[in-house]
Amino acid sequence: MNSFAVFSMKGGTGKTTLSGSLGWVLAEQGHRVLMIDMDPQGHLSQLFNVRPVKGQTQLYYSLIHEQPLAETIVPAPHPNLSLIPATEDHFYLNSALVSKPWREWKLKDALQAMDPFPYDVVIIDLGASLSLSTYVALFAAKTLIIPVLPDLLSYLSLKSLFTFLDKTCKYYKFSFDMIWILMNRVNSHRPLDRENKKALEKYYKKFLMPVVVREDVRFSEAARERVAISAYAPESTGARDMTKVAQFLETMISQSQSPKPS
Amino acid sequence: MEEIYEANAPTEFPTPKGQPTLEQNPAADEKITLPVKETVSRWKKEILDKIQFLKENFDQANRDREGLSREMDLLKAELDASKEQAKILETKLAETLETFNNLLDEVSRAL
Repeated sequence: MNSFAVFSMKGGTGKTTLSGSLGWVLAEQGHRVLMIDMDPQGHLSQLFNVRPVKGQTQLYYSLIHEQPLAETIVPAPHPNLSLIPATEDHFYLNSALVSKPWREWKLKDALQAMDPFPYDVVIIDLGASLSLSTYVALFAAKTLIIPVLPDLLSYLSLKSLFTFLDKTCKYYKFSFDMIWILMNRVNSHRPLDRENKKALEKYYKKFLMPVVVREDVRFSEAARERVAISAYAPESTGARDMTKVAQFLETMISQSQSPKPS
Repeated sequence: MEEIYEANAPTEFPTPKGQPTLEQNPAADEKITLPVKETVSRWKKEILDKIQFLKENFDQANRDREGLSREMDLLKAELDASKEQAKILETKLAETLETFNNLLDEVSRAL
């Protein structure tokens, strides 16, 4: 199982848009994709216009009362795409998790309990906050994708995030397989964008994804129509960039999974 | 400006176990050339769209002007005809007044 968490501490960096777009591209390419909306605002669920049906188990009950995660899954508009939507209960998830033993590993355990696992990829969309549910989502992921905007505040927030990740991984004896910084809304004609990119290349070289997502109004237009950009405008700059991101991740994962020469 | 990036450079890094080292950036060349090419073609399309829009507006304005000038000619002709009519009526009025005055003279002489 390949699992991605899309997270950044700074708000408005495009976490949900990129999660949804990436999920759609991977589904288009034939992967069976499960998306998990861990943001209490539920924007990913709203993007795909998905809600749990009446009486259906919700993620809260699955994590807190250990009901099967499979019962929380709702089909999304693409046949290869499924979603665990966010509901109002997400607001109470943190307080409910406090008293639970091994709380940080709840989602990982719930995913592993699904046997056989019917998905190729899991994408977890998080909100821009540090809480117990953030740990729950991060620890269920193998790859962390950090969207950043080409501005100073995004750059500054990265330092805090890396410090947090370093300390958290050491404390919990946890390690991601990969961490990738994904530059979003890049316009390379703007000097500040170029300056920011240079700084990222200099100080975060190992983690910076070599493909970027360029600024494209089609992302907003697609969100208004409640579809992913690849479905709304497949030839647009944004859709093509998302395809490159998906291809890059596929390549990296296949390389990491291929047996290393001894 | 670059000092701010250096001053806020990361000091602690997590160590992902499968993080590859990318020797070269395969998309680097593309990133420099592609946006320029795409922006130019986008601008070209926008300019052509604007020219088309202005051309359509210009044609419409020409059609409107022709219609209005035909209407103006018609109104002018009507005005000329009305002026002629007014002249005839003025002459008739003058003749009538003269007849009336003559009659009044004749009545006063008879009295």
